[in-house]
Amino acid sequence: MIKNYFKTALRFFWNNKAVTGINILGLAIGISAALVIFLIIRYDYSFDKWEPGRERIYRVITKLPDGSDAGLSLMAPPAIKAGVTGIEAVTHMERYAFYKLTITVPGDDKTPQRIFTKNDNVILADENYFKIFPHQWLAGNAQALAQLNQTVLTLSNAEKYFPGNDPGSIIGKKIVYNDSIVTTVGGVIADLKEKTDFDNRMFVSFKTIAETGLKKSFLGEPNWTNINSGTQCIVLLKRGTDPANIEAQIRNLYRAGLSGSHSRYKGYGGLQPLNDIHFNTALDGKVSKNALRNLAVLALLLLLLAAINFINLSTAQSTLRGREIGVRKTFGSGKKQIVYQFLAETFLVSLLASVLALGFSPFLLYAFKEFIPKGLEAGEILQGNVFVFLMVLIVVVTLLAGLYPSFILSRFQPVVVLKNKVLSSGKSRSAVIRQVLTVAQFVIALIFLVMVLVISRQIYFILNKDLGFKKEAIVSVPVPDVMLGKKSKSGVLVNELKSIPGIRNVSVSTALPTQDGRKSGRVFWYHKGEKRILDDIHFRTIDEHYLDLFGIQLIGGNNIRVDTGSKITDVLINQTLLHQLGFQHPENAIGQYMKGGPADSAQIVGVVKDFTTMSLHNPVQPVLLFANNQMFSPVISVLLSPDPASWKPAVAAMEQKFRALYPDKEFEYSFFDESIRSLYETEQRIAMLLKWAAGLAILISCLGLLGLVSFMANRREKEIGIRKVLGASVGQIIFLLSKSLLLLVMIASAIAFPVAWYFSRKWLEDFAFRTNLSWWLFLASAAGMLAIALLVLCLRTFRTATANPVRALRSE
Amino acid sequence: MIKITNLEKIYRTEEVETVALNDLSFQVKEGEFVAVMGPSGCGKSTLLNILGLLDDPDAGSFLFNGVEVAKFNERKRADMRKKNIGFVFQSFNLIDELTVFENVELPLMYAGVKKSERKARVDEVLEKVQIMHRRNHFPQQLSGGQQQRVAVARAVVNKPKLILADEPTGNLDSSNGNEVMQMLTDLNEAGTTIVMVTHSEHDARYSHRIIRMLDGHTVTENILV
Repeated sequence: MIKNYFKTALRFFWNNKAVTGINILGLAIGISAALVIFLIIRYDYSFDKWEPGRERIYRVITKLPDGSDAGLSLMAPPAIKAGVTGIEAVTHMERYAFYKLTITVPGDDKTPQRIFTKNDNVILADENYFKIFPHQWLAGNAQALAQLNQTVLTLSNAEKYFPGNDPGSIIGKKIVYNDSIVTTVGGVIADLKEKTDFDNRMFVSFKTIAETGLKKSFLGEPNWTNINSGTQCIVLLKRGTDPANIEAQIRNLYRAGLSGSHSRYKGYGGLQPLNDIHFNTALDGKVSKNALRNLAVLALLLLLLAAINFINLSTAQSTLRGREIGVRKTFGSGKKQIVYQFLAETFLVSLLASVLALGFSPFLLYAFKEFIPKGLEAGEILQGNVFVFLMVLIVVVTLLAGLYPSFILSRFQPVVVLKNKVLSSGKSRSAVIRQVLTVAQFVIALIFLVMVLVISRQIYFILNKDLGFKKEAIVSVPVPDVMLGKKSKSGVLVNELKSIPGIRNVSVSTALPTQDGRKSGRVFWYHKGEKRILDDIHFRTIDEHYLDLFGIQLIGGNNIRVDTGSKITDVLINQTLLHQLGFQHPENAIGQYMKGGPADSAQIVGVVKDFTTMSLHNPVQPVLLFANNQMFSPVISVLLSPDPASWKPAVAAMEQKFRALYPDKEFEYSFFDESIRSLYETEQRIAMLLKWAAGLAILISCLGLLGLVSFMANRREKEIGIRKVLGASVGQIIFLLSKSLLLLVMIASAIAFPVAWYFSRKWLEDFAFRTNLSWWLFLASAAGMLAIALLVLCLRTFRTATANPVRALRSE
Repeated sequence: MIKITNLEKIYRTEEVETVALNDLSFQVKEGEFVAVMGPSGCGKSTLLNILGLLDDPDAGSFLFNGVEVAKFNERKRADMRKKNIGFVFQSFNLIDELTVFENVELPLMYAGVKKSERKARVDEVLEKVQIMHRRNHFPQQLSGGQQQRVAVARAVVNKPKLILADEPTGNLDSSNGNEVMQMLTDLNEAGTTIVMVTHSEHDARYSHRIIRMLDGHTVTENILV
């Protein structure tokens, strides 16, 4: 019987190629989007599933009153090792100990010394690391990390630094870090094939830094209140241990450590389960479960749209199937058998759509590439569980799209359908449901469309808003050392750069006016004999060219002076800080004394117009601009001539000057306007994703519309013939066929707009500076959608309207 | 075989009430060939639909082989139908997507007959109606007469006790029409009971008895044999 169902279905598809094509194409688009989104979700859920006892692995983090931090105080790991019971293994590692790392492999008789400037995933770790994250040892063992000056590296790194050597022969060879730390290779491990957020590939024994004179310069002064996001402590609990118990013990350690001088500090240690690390973006997780959930909802919506097409076209086509069902029932078929038959038919359509979807997926993976994690490749489509997912999807789509039409069809009474009585008049229940479903499709498509317009407009707004400074033709170059005045290397570089033709101005500072993240802290203000505390003040240490280069406007007082020889540093404040200090006029603030940030003592010499220091999600912050004092890892900003043609040679000349001074360092540069643009990467990615979603939703909906209008045109062929004979024009026929569907699009607009308005407003609330939700955005969406719908309708109705009426009438 | 008593069927719309069958009673014995005649709208087709268990009456009794079937639910009606009744329609009602063979095979499939037996029975009946050479063609590829022969083959393949024919020659020319009528006569002579609705006096003469209807009830009965 099943064979008979499929045979009938295939022949019906063949006889109704257009509608079948629309159904398969629509479903294929929906399924391929679902497939790609499944691949993304599966990829993210496959992280760190390989560690033995992973349900007992936790990271110790710092919990603060206003959130948490992935980092820890340096005091915590040794205290936990020594004082917490119920733990099987503890490892302490440092992620960012090496800033701009240069690795030197000393030469010998046969090979010259080699220097590597690109070195990633290098950490400091102790020997317990491999108890929690076991690797396959190709040479040496984990005990290497228990000794001084030892390095363990992965096979791929071994091949990079010692090409042509087998792992065993590398043991005992030297690796030098930053020209100063000489280590010996103590072990080689296999590269991890599994996905992990602990993708460390080079391990320097922790003791090398922690138990030598290097400790202070590398790790700073250990202090319970100093959190370093590079400091990581991972614990493996003993079986049966309650994590809450461990957390309580860690909290007690913090209490003991913080008693006395740090009594106002409110941070303490907490545990983060291993399976939360990848998803907790409030810490350092890669992707939030919320974002993945939204993607899943998106996939479901696209599938729903495609299923609606199928339902609409199947029920519309039911008149064509009526006689067949009547005959089947007359000759013994029950209702159930009719339902099975049409479910089998839907299954077949879904199956064909899935095959097509597999073909579409690599293109979709490419289209979604901004959203797709770097490790995810098109080849993963061919993995076994993707096929299992596809099978599940086929069953879901079959039920979603097939159940309703099959119930409708199975209800047909043979006595009615065999007499060719009207089955699908415009007023039947299934016709009403068809209209409701079409409206639902366009509601979804319109919501996407409005959101795309709102987000694109907001991105345009934030990228073009006056931020209070210039951002065009400015290049910034990080300097790989501490700036110690004009005679230092950096000082020399600044002077050298000034001599390059095409460079208009050069300034050195600790940060550009706007940057990613926060650079803020506490300062003290000495006012009328009182010491007042000001928290969360944004700092920049700048030179005298900074204001001019960035076009930051001085509205009172003077620019800062550097190298005055005075112990009192010049400082500028912005308008927001001026008002925070309680002053209205700049002259009232000038001469006030401050302490904090890089200066032991500073005096306000001028006030600048407000400018943004962070992304426009945040309001304007109070800012202190200190005169050049000592700068740790400064940035040189260069204003180029406005002619873009001169930029390339200027940057090349800059690189040449840089390399002459820092031969072993990488020259890195970035254009300021691009850095600002990159602050809104998330928004731009969302915009791109929504553009795709809107495009696919409109495409699927229009395919459905095309199917419905084709069906209507066929059904009304004779009527149209008669109307034409009686004198109806082409335009009148097109209007006749299109008006009811256009009305549906208008109803959809009325429903979609409040919903889209709500979501747009919610999204915009995240910005301190935002664009208006203008009425024209909604009007443009509706007009755009109507225009697209009309175009689709005209594609088909024009053919019917211009056909020779004699043919239609003769066919009767 | 069939005994209907005081049968009534009324079609209602919002504004109009149409009495299709009005206090109709008659019997058909096993092996009989009965023709039902009457002007359009007299209730012939309604009667045939009720006899074929495709529709149910509003009142009255319908005994089929001594079993009251008037109030059967759809499942029971479908079951009774597939075991006992074959249909021949004026417009053939073959499924376009199935070949001649598959169309004729359909009732056997719903009756759960095994594949090998199905093949033998379909071939036998196709041979009988002389359409074997067209067994793999689709209905659109056949003439009207050939399509009606396939429809007859489909009606008899399950060896029903009763064949209901609704103007079986209505869409055929006289030569094809005569062929179909001869086929029905042969079936009747082999023991199948036939009830045929027709407008054609010529066709009606093939039957044993003519029931003439007007406004939903019988007006005369002519016994021809």
